[in-house]
Amino acid sequence: MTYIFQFFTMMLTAVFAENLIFTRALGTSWMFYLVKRPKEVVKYTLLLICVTTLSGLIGYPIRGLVYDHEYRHFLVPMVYIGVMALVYIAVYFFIKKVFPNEFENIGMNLGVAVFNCAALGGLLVPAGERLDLISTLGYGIGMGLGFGIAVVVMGYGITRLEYCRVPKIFRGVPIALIYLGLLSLAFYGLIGHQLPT
Amino acid sequence: MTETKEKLNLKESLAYIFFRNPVLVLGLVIGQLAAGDTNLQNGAALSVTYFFIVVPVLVFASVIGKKLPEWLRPMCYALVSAVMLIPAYFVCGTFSATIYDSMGIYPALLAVSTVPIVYSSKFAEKQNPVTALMNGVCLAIGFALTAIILGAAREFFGSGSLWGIKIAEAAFPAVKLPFWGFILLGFMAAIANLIKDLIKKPEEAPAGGEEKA
Amino acid sequence: MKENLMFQNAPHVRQSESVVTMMWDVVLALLPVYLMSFFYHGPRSLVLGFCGVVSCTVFSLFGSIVLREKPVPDLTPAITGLIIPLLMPADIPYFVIIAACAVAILVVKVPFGGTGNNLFNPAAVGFASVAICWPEKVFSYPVTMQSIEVFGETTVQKVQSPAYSLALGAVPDYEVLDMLLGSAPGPMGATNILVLVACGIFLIVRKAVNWVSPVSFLASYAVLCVSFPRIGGSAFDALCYELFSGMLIFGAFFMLTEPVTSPKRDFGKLMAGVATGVAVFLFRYFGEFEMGFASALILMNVFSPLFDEACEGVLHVYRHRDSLIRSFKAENQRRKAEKAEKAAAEPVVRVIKKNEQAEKAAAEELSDAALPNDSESFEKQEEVPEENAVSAEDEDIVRQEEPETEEIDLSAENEKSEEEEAVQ
Repeated sequence: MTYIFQFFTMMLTAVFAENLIFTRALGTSWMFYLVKRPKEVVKYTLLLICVTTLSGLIGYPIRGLVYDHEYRHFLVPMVYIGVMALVYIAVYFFIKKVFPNEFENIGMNLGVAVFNCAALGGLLVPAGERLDLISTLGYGIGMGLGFGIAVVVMGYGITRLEYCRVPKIFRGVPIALIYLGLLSLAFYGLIGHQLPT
Repeated sequence: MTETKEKLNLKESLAYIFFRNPVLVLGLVIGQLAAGDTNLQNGAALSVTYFFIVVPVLVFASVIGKKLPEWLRPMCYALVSAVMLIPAYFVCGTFSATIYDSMGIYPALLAVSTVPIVYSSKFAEKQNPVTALMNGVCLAIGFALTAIILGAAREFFGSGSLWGIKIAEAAFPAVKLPFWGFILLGFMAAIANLIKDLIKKPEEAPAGGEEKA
Repeated sequence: MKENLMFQNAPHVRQSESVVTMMWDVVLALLPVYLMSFFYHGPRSLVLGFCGVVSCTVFSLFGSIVLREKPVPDLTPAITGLIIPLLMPADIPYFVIIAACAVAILVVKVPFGGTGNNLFNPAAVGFASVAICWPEKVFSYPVTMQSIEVFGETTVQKVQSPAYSLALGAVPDYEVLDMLLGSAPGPMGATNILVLVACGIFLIVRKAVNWVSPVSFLASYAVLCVSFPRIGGSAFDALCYELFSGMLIFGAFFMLTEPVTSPKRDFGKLMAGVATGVAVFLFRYFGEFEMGFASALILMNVFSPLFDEACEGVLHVYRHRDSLIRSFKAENQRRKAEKAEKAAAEPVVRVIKKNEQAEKAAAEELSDAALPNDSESFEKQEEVPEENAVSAEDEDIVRQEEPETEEIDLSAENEKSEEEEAVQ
């Protein structure tokens, strides 16, 4: 029971208080890509959750080996990118065999969907905070969900921006960034001014 | 696969420094800058890391990218850029021993950012190695410009110092938070647009901010 | 005709009232609040208000100069500049006010296109950003009835507000009557509950603001507070302390009702008010900050058109329920008839996925099977694949085997092409 409670607490923390996009600023370019393709958000969110949970599971026992090493700053990301590569191969063949139609649609995007900052961040953050296995899993799932929510919220905002008379020099990237910054300001009301690192 | 590879076009490569700046115009690598680039040293370290990742990966992609099966390529690029974190770490260690500690996970995330994974498979594979090298260098310089300006501004306003040397009172500590990073980057992009409008000749096609991938 | 119509966001002009009179009403309603804070804190509050107005106006002029637009005489920056100091303690340094005004105008208003286009409430964002930056300055309040020095270092005694003790789960040591009259410490303009309510009623009577959103917001928050009290004692006391602490009443009348960022329909306003109440409740109970209202308001501003759309949908169904039910029934009957017709024709339909290989194999298989009927020809009814192959749905290709049934299929195809032509 305590485990379930811990799992859900961690998940909610990852979705709202430590949202991948709004408070940790990870995976923004992947988000901007998905914002224009609202139909695919659910698919790629599920894929992201799969990748973070699976890699978190595989990486958990290995983590102890490298984490206290002198050169952990590049060893940990290397190990996790290696784990992600394994998961990528597994996911590739899984999708090819089980969902051949989906596979055609995803195609080359699969590489981007697995190797992006959101996925790697979702692995490195729990590793950095040395969470235990249950929390790591909860955090991974919560990160993916939070990413999906952030994409939906942001996509909604982008459509609203079209109705504003945005000055010429602010059109495109600048106004999207300012909008994102203001949204992330609102999320800061939840966690207070203590910046999680 | 006998198509000819793109030749070096110096003008196009140099455009990556300002007119097609990877951060301000193309809208890439924003997260790492917004959250990790809180002072000048961090900006410099991020730029060095980015340089060490982007240039080898693009050259790698243009030399042997086409020889790999298509689905393996993103994975290979990610692994190569992960390996390239090693020299970046040691170079950054020469000017500050604790720089990677202070930045947390953000330099590592550069390894899976958009340019090494997507740009390399979409463009670099079709270019000859010299073009890829030139593009990589220019992309890294464009990134470094943005990172250093942003880092300097945030350090100056946030803690009143530059490169760790105190020169003024801290005015606005909150600029070190990620959301101010987003907002400042937005304003920098707007200023870049303004400068571009001022110096651009009308016949050139606009670079466009919609090319995020 | 269409070209003459211009898209414009609220505030809309109607009858004898105009945007300008609405804005003057708001300014007029803010003046008593300033007078009350003058009474409690001395002349510094008026100087703060003046500072806010001047800096907001200057920043908006600056924005229009940089963007090379013609500056429009506009009262909204001045109102933002009047609201921001009222959310802060009376001894706040002037540079905090200027910073908040800079954020409110230069970040929230100018980049989005000025008045009528701001997606967020400028005052809320300005306040939230300085509150995050200098929490120790923004969230410690001077005691009332002490005149504060206008310039230089302030020496007034500082205390925490009732909202802070509520967040710790303690009963504030002020009487409810004190809080009604505004002698409890708190934000400069948000403590004088009676005056604020009077101003709110004035605004509602003058139709400068709509009554729906403040009432629904306060009601939903009150219901939640009574259901889950944070402090002991009677429910009424808890309710009063919750409602009168912080900036809820002030925000409900002056910030929540901002015409640009709030929903346009009454029903949408109702939903937005309730949602803001729930969000404020959650932010106050679980957030680590005292500024629950500002954050919740920013978050709700994101979704305000969504409330309008939702209400539009609900109202559409409600108004046209008869005709909708009729058309639904008709549709059902039509489908049944079609089914019966098809069943009578008994076509043999094969569904082939768009997958190329499968398609080829199936085509071979089909042609093998159809060898006896040489006259038959297979027509592919295939849509042009999209460039990005975005759509996740499988596009099925339906082929008819028997020649008799071709008519139905062709007619369906014709209809489709006609529709396409009509669209073009």
